[in-house]
Amino acid sequence: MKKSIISLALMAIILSCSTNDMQPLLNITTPSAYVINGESTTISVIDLATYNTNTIKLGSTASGGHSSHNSSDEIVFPHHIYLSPDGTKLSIGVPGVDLTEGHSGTHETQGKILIVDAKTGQILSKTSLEKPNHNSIFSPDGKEIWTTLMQHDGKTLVFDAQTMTLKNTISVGNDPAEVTFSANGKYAFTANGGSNSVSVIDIQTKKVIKTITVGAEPVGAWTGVDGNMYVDNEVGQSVSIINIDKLEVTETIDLGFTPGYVAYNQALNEMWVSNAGQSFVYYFVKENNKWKKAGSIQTGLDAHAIAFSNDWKTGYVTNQKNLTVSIIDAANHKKIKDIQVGQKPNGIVIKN
Amino acid sequence: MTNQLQQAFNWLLTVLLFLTIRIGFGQNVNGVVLDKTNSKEEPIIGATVNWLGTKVATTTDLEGKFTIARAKSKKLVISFVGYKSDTLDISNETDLRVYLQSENQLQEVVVRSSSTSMDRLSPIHTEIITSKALAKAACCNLSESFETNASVSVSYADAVTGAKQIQLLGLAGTYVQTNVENIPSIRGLATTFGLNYIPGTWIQSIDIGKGAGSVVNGYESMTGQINVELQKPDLAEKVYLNTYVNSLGRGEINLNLAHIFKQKQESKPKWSVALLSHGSTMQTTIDKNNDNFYDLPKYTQANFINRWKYESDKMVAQFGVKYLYDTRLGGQINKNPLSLDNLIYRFSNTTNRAEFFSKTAKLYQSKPYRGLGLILNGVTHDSQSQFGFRPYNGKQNTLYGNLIYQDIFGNTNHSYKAGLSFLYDKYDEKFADLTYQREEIVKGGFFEYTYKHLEKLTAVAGTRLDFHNLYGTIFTPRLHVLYNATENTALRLSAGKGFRTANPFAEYFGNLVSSRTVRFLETINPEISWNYGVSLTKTFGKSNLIIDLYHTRFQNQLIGDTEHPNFLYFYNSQGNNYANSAQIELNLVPAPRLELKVAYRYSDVWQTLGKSLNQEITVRKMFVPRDRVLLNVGYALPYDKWKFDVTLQYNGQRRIPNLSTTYVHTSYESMPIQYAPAFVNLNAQVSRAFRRWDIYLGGENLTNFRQKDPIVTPDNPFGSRFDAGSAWGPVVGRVIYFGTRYKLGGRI
Repeated sequence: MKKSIISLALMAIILSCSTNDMQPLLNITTPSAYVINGESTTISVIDLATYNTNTIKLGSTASGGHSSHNSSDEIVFPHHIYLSPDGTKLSIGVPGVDLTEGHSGTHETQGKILIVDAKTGQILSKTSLEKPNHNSIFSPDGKEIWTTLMQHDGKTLVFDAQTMTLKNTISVGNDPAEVTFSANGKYAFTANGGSNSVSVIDIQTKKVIKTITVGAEPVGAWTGVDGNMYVDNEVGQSVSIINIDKLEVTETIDLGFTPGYVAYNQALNEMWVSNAGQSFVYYFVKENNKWKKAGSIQTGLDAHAIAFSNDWKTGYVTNQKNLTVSIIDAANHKKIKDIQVGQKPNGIVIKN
Repeated sequence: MTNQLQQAFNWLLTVLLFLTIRIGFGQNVNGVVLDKTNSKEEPIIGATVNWLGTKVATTTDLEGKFTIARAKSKKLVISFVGYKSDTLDISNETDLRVYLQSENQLQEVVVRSSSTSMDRLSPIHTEIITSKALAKAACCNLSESFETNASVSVSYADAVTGAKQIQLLGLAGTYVQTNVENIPSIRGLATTFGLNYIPGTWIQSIDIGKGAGSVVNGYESMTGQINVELQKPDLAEKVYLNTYVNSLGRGEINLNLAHIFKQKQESKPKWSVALLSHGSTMQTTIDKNNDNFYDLPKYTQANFINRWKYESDKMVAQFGVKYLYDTRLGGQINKNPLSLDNLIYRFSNTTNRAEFFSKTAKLYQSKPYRGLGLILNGVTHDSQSQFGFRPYNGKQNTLYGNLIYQDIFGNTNHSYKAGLSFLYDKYDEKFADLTYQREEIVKGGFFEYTYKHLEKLTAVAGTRLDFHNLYGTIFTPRLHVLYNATENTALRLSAGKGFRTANPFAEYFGNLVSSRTVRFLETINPEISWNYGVSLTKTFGKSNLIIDLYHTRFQNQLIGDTEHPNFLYFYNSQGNNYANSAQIELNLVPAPRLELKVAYRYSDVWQTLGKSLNQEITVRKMFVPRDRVLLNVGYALPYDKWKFDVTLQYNGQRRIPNLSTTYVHTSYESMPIQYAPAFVNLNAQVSRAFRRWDIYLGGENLTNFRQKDPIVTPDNPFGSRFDAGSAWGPVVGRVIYFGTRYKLGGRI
C-alpha cells in the first residue's frame, strides 16, 4: 500500500519523444564526452578527436521557453549524466535546483529523470518525481534506472528502463544524493548526505544490506575499478574509501579542502580529487599503502566532475564556474587545453 | 435750399467716400507669399493666411497674393504644407512680401538657435533641445544631452559597463523610438550603448516627442520618440574642432569638416559633403569606493560619418556611411588576494557597427505641398562581450526602407501622408552555449490624415497595417489633436498603440554583470502598449508653463524579474502593468539673458511580478524615482561672451532589489520592499566665447554623492550573490571637465 501511495505520489509521467522540439537531430558517432550544463540546461558534446562541440538543448531556457518555472514539465538545473551500458542512451538527473553551491538545505523542487538518445540528442522520456534527485543511472545490465529522492526520509528508486514505471522504492538514509554501482555489478551505493552514511543495496534483491558510516555530508560513492568506492564528504572535507568486498571503510583521507568529486585512475594508480570552488584537482598516490597528496593540477574555476579516457591517459574535468572542460595529460598532470562548454557544467560521461 | 441740400449731400458723399477709402485702406493687409529655392522666386498657391487666435483667414491666389482684413490680433500666421509656418508681427504694414522656408521632412531641418523650446505647431507634444541648450552641459554624447531637460532622465544602467539608460514618462528608453534624422536608430542590439554612440558635437538639435508618435516612422514608439538631427553638410561649420578632458582622465576630440562644392551655374545642382569624426578614450583606473572594481570601464571609441547632399530643382538627396568602433574593459582591477589562482572578474565589450543611409526627396516645384520621399538604411552591428567567464555575442543585420508620399485633399486644410515600409531584422545572439536567433520581416503601409482649421485646431489621425512574419498582422492606430484655445494657450491630446519586439540580453545587459542565472520562463511575446496623454502649454511673453499627464498601459510587457538574487527571470507580463506620469514645467525669462527652468515630475509605474513562483503581485517598478525635480538657471553676458549654467536635479526614492546577502527569496507576496534614498545631483558650467574659440569649464555631481556599495560581494565575484547590475545611484563622484570649441570659416 505504502509503495503504491509513493508510486502515485511520484507522479511518474513519461512524456513523448518530442519534448525538445527545438533540438536539431545530431549524428554523434565519434568518441565523445557528454557534459551536462546545469545553468544552460544543455549537453555539450565534445568530439574527443577534434575537440569540436555540439550542443543538445534540453529545456525551456535553452529553446526560449515554453512553460512556467514551477510546472512539472520544465527542466531546471540538470545535474549528473550517465551512459547506458550499450552506449545508446543517456540518463540525466534533474534536481530542479542549483546544487553547485553545495547540497545542504531543504529543496522543494521536483526532480526528473531524463533519457536522451546519445546519438541524435533527442529526449526519449522525461519522468517527474516528487522530490529532487541528484542523478539517475542505468543499472549494470541496462534494464533499470536508479535514482534517489533528496528528502529527509530518503529513498532510492528503481525504474524499468524501457517503460519508466517504478519497480522498487528502497528506504535509505537522510537526504540521499548520488546513487552509483560497484564495479563488480553487485551493489548500489547511495550516499546519505543527512546521515553521514552510505547505504549498500543488493542490486538483485533491492535490499539495503549494510549502512556504512562515512564522513560529514557525503555526496557520492564514486566507483573505482580497483574494487573500492571513493566517497567524497563535502562538509567533512575528506574521502572515505570503501572496499566492496569487505563493505567497510578501509581508509579516510583528510583533504583540508572541500571535495567536488573523486576519481580513480587505474593506469597511474592515482586518486584524483577536485577542489570545489577552486581551480584545482589534487592527485594522490599510494605510499606505504596509504593515499598521500602528491600534487595539484590547475584546471578552471570550481573544478568538479572528473572522467578518464579508456586508456587512462587523458583526464577530463568540468569547471562549473569557468564554463569549460579541462583536458589533462594524466601522466604529466598538465592541462592540455580548456574546451568551452555551457554554464555551470557539472556531470560528464565519456562514450568511446 | 435745394442748392444747400445739394452741397450738403456732396459734402457728406465726399466725407463718406473719404472715410470709405481711409477705412478700406486701413482694414486690409495685402501681400504675396513666395518660395525661394535656389534663388528662384515662386508664388505659393493656396497658403493659409490668418490672424492668430481668430477665425479671420484667407488663402493665397494663383500669384501667391492675398488680402486679409485686419483683426484684433497683431500676429499674422502664414502656413502651408511642406513649409515652416511664419508668424509676423503686424502693426501698420499693408503690403507684405513673405518668403516661406521649405521644411520638407525629407529635406532638412530648420536650425534652431534659441534655447529649449516647444514646437508650437506640432500636435504632438514636442520639446526641442537646441544647439544652444546642448552647449549648456558637456554633452560629450547623446546620453549626456538631456541633463537640462525635465522630461528625460539619464542614469547608469549598472556599476560596471558604463552603459547609460534614459527614462521618459517613467519608462525605459527602449519604449522611446529613437531616430537619427527620422531613421529608427537606437534599437535592437544598439539599445545597450547606443546613447554613447552619437557624439554631442554631431548633434544639431534633438526633438523629444511625448506619447505615441507619428505612424510614419513605424510602430515602435510606445511612450515617445526622440529624433536627433545631425550637422548637415551645407549648414555646418567649415571646420569645427572640439576637445574635452575631465578629471577622470577621459579625453575626447571631435572634428567636423564641411564643404559645399562650387556650382558652375546657379541653375546646376548643388553638392556638399561633410565628415564628422570622433575619438575618445579613458584609460585611467578609477576605484573611488575601493571595491577593487573599475567604477567606470576603460574605453576607446572611434566614430565617423561621411555624408553627402545633392540638391537640385527637382530633387534633394542625402546619403552617407557611418562606422563605429567601441571597446571597453571593466570589472576587477586586481585579482582577489584570497584567491589561490589568478582568476579575475572582467567585463569587456567590443562593438563594430557599420551603416549606410540615404534620403531622397522628389520635389514638385509648382505644388510644394506635394512630396515623395524614400528613406533607406542598412546596419550591421556586431557586439562581443564577456561577463566573467560568461560570453555574450550578438550580431544584428537590419535593412529599413520607408516610402512616403504627401499631398492634400482639395486644399491645405486636408493633407495626408501615405506610404509603404519594409523592415528586415536578423539577430544572432549567443549567451554562453545557447544561441538565440530571430529573423523579422515586416512589410507595412501607413496613412496619416491631417485636418487643420486655421491655427485653431490641428488633428492628425494615423494608422498603420504591418505584416510581420513572426507575429502576424499589426494594426497601429494613433490620434493627435492640437487645440489653440487662445493665442497663448495650447491643449494637446494624444492616444495611440505601440508595438515592439524586445531584446532581453541587450536591454538587461547590466544585469548580466552578476552571478544571476538567466531563465526564460516562456516564449517572449512582442510588447504592446496603449498610450494616452494630455498636455497644456501656456505662453506668456518669452516664458511658458507646461503641464502634461500621460498614461501607458501594457497589453504585454517583457518582465525582467530580479527579485530573486540568484536569477534574472524573463517572462511575459501578467495582470496590471502601467505607468502614469505627470509633469509641470515652468520656463521663465525674468530678465534679458537670464533663463530659469523649474520642473517637477511624478512617476507612478507598476509591474505585476511572480510568475516564477506562480504568484501575482503588483509592485512599483524598480529604479524609477517617484519624484523628480529639475532646476536650471542660465545667464549670459551680452553677446554671450560669458555664459553660466547651473542644474540641480532631485531624484526621489526608488524601489530597488533586496541586496542583502542573507536574503532568501521564497515568496513575492511577502517579500520585503526596499527603497534607495533620494539624492541630488548638481551640475554647473561656465563658458567664455572668443571670436573663433569657445572654452568651457564645468562640473558634474558637484555634491559628490555616491552610492555606498553599488556592487554586491565585490570580493567574491564568482560567488552566488555577486551582483553589479543593481546600482541605483552615481558610482563615481564629482567630475570636473574642461573643453574647447574651435570654429573656422563660419558657414560656407
